[in-house]
Amino acid sequence: MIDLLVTVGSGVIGLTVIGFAGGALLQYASKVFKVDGNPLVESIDELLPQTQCGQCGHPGCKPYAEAIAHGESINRCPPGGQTTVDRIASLLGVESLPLDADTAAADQDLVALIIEEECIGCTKCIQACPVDAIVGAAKLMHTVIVDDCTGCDLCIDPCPVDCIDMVERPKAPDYWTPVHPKVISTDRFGQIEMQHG
Amino acid sequence: MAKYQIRRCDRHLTGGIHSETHKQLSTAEPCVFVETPTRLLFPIHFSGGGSGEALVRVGDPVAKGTPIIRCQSGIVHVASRAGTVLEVTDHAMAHPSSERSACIVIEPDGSDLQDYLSPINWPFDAKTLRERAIEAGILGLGGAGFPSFRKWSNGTQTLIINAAECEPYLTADDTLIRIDTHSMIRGACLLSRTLDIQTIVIGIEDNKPEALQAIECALKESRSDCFFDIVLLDTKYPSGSARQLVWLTLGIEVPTGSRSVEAGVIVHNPGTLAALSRAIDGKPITDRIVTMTGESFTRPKNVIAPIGTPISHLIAATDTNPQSLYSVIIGGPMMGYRVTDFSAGITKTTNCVLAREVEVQPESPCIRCGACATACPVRLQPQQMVAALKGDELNRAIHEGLGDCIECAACNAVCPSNIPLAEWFRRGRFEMKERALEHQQASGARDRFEARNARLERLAQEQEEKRAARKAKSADALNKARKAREEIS
Amino acid sequence: MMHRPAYPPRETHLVMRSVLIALLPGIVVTSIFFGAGVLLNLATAIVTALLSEALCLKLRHRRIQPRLSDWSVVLTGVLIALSLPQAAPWWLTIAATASAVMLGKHLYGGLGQNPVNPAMLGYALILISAPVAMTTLWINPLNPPDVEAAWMAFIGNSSDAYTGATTLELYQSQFSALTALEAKQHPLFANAQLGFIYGYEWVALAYLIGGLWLLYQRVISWHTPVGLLATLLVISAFFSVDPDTATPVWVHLIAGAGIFAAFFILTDPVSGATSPKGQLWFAIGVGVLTYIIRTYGQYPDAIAFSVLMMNFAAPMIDHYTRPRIMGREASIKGPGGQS
Repeated sequence: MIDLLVTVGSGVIGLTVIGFAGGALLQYASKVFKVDGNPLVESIDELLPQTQCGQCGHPGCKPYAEAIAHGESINRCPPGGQTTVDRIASLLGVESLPLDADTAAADQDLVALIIEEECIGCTKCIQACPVDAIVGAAKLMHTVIVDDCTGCDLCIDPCPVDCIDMVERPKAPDYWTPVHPKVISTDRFGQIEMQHG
Repeated sequence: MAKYQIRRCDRHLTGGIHSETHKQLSTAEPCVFVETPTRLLFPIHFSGGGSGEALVRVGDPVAKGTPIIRCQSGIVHVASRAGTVLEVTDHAMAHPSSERSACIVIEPDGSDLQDYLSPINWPFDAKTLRERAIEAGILGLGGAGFPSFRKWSNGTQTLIINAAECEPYLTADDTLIRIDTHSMIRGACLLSRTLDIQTIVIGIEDNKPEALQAIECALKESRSDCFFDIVLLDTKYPSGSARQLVWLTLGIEVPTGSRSVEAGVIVHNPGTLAALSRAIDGKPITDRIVTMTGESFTRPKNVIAPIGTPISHLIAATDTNPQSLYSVIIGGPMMGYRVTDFSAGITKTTNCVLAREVEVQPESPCIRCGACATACPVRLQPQQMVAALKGDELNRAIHEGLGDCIECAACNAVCPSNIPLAEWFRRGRFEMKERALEHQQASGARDRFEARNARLERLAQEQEEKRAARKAKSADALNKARKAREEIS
Repeated sequence: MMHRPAYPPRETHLVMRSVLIALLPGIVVTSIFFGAGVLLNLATAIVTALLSEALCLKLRHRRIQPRLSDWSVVLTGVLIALSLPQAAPWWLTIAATASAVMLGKHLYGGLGQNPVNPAMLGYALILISAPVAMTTLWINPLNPPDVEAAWMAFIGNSSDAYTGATTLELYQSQFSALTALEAKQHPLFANAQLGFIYGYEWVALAYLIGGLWLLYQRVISWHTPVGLLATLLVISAFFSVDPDTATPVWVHLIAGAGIFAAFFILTDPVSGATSPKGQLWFAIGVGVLTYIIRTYGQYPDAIAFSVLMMNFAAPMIDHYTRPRIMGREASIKGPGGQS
């Protein structure tokens, strides 16, 4: 009986001591090797589209990146689209999720367009724009700088005369895309084979 | 007599392919002028030099040399024959995008009316030459269409004339050197004197003995004091690619991400220099040599055609019925693109029209044989890059060196599984540039957002301080008034 | 056929066809010295390979005709058949080939996707699963079976009269106590016509001729065979200072299918390294591992295990043997670029 107690006791005590020693080592390491700031947040922020639209529920992209680093769901950014969700999933090493938004709407690249005939010069949209993409002043014409507009549509609601539309981002007249190779590779029977194998 | 030397290139391209050159096919018959066609078509945004604006309206009369398009880069495109502007409409083009875009259609009237610039007399400075190159519409006639004036800066040490013409079937440069050697030499010399370039290198493949002879004759008769270093290259594709040519002739490796101009070297096509010589005399680019070649043409040859000539007209000039062809390739078999609508007009960069029957082989999986890596002149690993691109991993492909790919398609030519590698890389490089642009815009948006937040915070703080100061002031005044009242009472 | 092309064959099926042609001399010589068993194995393996591939393609919903007509699976079957013992019964050949094609190739995505050499995977699986059959059914070339006896062995009734140990096994077990001179008395060496080992030497020569022809046709590059054979040569020469205790150099090269492996097994493009420099390191690695396993390991034939181990190292070899891209200062090392 004593033998048994000694055997079991020594095992329990031994493992407890090892546990405490390991814990102390980890505490020490967490203090000595602590990294300033959170590089993960920067990496996530690099992947977000910087629209600063607030559709994710956070006041900007950086706050959302911080939230993701603390466990928030990664599929809340419609301007980023499914591509961004997949990239964040790949960065964090987790399963990707379907985008929590209407994907058809999310895929469009839109910019705001102020209908100048109806603009009354109230500056409400200028104050609303998170990236300062609207030029203008009180009682003077307001215009959207297309290259700076991220398509967040935060200016639509504040406009009292509803003179702002979201339109597709205009492309340069000499813009063209090379054909995707999947469209040209064919199988033996002349049919386009989308999969290989 | 200009001083020159001929030497054999002692460097050999790592990679590249020796293929059948098929040059004899189009050089058997002499080069001829084609008749003026009934229509001339000029794409407004795709003639080279960026998107453009039309300078003429429907109904305007034009002479040979009247400017009709001004591009974003400044480059001017002129009417190649006198006539009337018939319409400005969406039309098929000789362009890889196979889209239809706005074109100016001119109906030539057969007259000889000219609207040239006035000649500029030597001596002139670099600024004058650049302005003349812009007005005459000089761009890279070898196929790339880069506005030439942008390459000319102080600090250039060497001019290389790219007489390699390494792509199979093409003989346009060969023909130009043989029939217009003096213009090419004169253009090179005037450019070199203006930019203070000491050496002119001519890189020429050793399968062009007649062109070499023409160059030697012209140099013997030239009174230039420039020194010409003629380098004979092995006939191998793609020795004529700018980076490869700079390395073969000068031994300089242009660093990744920069252009040969930044390494102090300008590379020009012989046609571009000949056009520059004519531009100095006042004549803008109105015609060019086009190689009509391929086994499907009845009588392949080189032709001199006005810019804007419909492809069907050129096909007819080879005694071939355009209806008998389904499509032609503009450019060569490696870097060219297919066009099916032959009513499209040629542009300044249309150097070849190729028609031949090629059986399209089906694609099978990559067996990782490494033939593509051996053939790559840049020493990339195409099998790794295409595996990354097919797996939608653009960053991995960029890590493997997608940005350094010159899109020469030598890998396509050797792949036993018939994988369209070069098409994947063209698409991948396009997406890479798009992503870089997106990233730049996103960074800009982030910076503006943070600046705005900082500004609002600052304004709020100033507001707070003002309020606090006002409060303190009014509290002060209130105290004073109270004290005054107490004293009274 | 005899003129040297400037480039490797332009189509996959032409590559496979060239390799099959290069194997013919070896097959003919093997059947002369070792009986008709090898031909029966070949027939079984080829049929099994084609059927397994067709089945797998059907299960994967792919078109069968393009993949079967590129001859790649026929080559896999032939290579397995030539690696198995000549008196192997039918079930051994079928099991090895089916597992090679199904587990070694289609499990990972078919042509071009196998991480390991399918033939060597099949061989290794069957070696571990049926060790007795794999070690006792090698034919003694001094007494090969006639057609009837070969057929009996094929259907499962092999006779001890024809079978014996392989050369490497001899060195590992029987010769360890003998001196070099005593070993030379063994009938296999005493009757050798070319001065090495009776029968095996002709087979090695036949494979060498086929392999050299493949080199000439630019189907393979010299890096792989030179890497393996030179490594074995150097290491075994270094350690064979005392001829009485060490296996002679030429045994390492000729026996144990060294030449066969150097030209036909290691050169599988999918599972090996891609660049020529990488192929050299791959072959050197196989050589080192082969020597170690043969000398210190349990299994006398080590090529299969060495090849499998180096197959897993092939991606890393590829990552570190990239040439320097033109315009960059140093070659890229390592994988990189997360999506």
